[in-house]
Amino acid sequence: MVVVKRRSERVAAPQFTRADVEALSNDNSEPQWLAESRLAAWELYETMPMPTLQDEAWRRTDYSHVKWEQASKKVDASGASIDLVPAESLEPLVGEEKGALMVFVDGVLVEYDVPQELTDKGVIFKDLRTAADEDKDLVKSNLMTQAVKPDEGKFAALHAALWNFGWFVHVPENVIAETPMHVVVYNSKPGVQMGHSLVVVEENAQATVIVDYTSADGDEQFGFIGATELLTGDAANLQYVALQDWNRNTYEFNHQRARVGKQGNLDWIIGLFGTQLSKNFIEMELDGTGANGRVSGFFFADDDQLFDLDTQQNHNAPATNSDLLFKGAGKDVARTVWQGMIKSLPKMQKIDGFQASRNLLLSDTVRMDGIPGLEIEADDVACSHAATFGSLEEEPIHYLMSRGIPRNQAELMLIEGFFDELLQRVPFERVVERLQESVQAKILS
Amino acid sequence: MANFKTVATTDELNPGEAMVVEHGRMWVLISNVDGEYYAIEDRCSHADVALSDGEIDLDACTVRCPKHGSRFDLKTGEPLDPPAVSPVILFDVNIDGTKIQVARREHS
Repeated sequence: MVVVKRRSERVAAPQFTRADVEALSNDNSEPQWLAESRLAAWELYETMPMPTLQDEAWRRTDYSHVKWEQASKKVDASGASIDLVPAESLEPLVGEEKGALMVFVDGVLVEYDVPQELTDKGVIFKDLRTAADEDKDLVKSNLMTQAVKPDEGKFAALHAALWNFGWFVHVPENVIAETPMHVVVYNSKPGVQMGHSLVVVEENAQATVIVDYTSADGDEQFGFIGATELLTGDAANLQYVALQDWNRNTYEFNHQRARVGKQGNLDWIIGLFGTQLSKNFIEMELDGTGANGRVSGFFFADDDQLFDLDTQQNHNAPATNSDLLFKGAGKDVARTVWQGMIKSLPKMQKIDGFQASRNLLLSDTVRMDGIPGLEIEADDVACSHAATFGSLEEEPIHYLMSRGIPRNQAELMLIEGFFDELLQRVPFERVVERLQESVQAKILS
Repeated sequence: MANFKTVATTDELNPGEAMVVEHGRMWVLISNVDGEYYAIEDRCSHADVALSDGEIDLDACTVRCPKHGSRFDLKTGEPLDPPAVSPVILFDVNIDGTKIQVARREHS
């Protein structure tokens, strides 16, 4: 029997203490309620074990490469400036308008612009810490109480205790916020960031929110422990786009959950390109009769990236509709996992749920797992799921080459064609272009 | 040109020994079989568990997955028994003085 030596021992968990939580509240003069809720989350965090490969939701997520002494290090945000942000991240993503804009660099709000039109309508679009003070009741009642809750996992509890920046969007009843709201998050230094997105669209209101996550390259590890909460009221409409292209030294742990009320509509678009490892819980709760939720996920993993995506469509009311499509490509020795579940509570009749994961394997050594699931406790439903896997076929490549198109161009055309089904679901031309550019960058890398 | 990365030194890995080192997101199982070094990803291609937790037979140049028993060839990464059907990722090894360097083998 050969004894195996292990060369490196890792710090097994983020390195935080209760004093960090207290210091965060004190340094920012946070309101009492927030300081108390952070400490409650910290106590919960301390009672929970770190997830392991023995836990079902984590059994394909080996995050033992995280150097927590780097990835949980507090970032010195001095020098944070909008000048650090790449120009393309600041371009409008919806139409020609700039819309409302918040830019965070290393967790610091460096640019803030809200058009008068939104303010006049009573729309709140501000950084979460300010909102926790100025719009206390709205934030207190919605922050990690309705959607992502601290008790749902170690990283959710950690986030609740130590989130250090975020944004709050609130659209009052019957208000249509036509101006898109754009948030740019850029990390220039290694260390940990915990960004929070809290969006509340009240009854019969409408909003479009776009979030763009990028970071500078760095030799040390970056950690991102995030949460996204999307609360779509009765008959409300929310379009939410999140594009993530962190550097390859980022380890991301994200809890994201949307709730949709009666006759509400959610259109959620997710693009995932960056990180070394990304673990994402993406969940949608259809709470009111007639609620509609559509989730479109676009991912492309290359080199030795690992993306692990858990999606959940919970039909908590009758006559609800969900439609989830994740399309992804992988090359080199990347690893992707998509595990989806449609769940219906008993007596939730007339629901229509669909989920599909379509995967394109661009190398012999990439591994992509697709694990769809249904858990239906009603008998008058239309629920189905699909997972497909394929590689580029030689015949269409040959056909295109016979028309004078070089091989690499032919392959790119076919890959773009693969993603077209998903891009058709994205109503914003510039977002489509950004997704296409990201694909091209991956193909050419 | 493969992008070799130094992961250990030869004095850390004597003939008849194996060790696990880190390479990007992967753990790599390096073995020294009578002075010849071989390296494969330390993860079963079937069930996602660490191969190094299983039985390593350097005479036969194999490692057996602890979960379902597939053996893998340490030289080629190929599975020798079911249920695994795909090879594990293979690394080239370069010895530069006393440095053990590995690089993921590029596939066409």
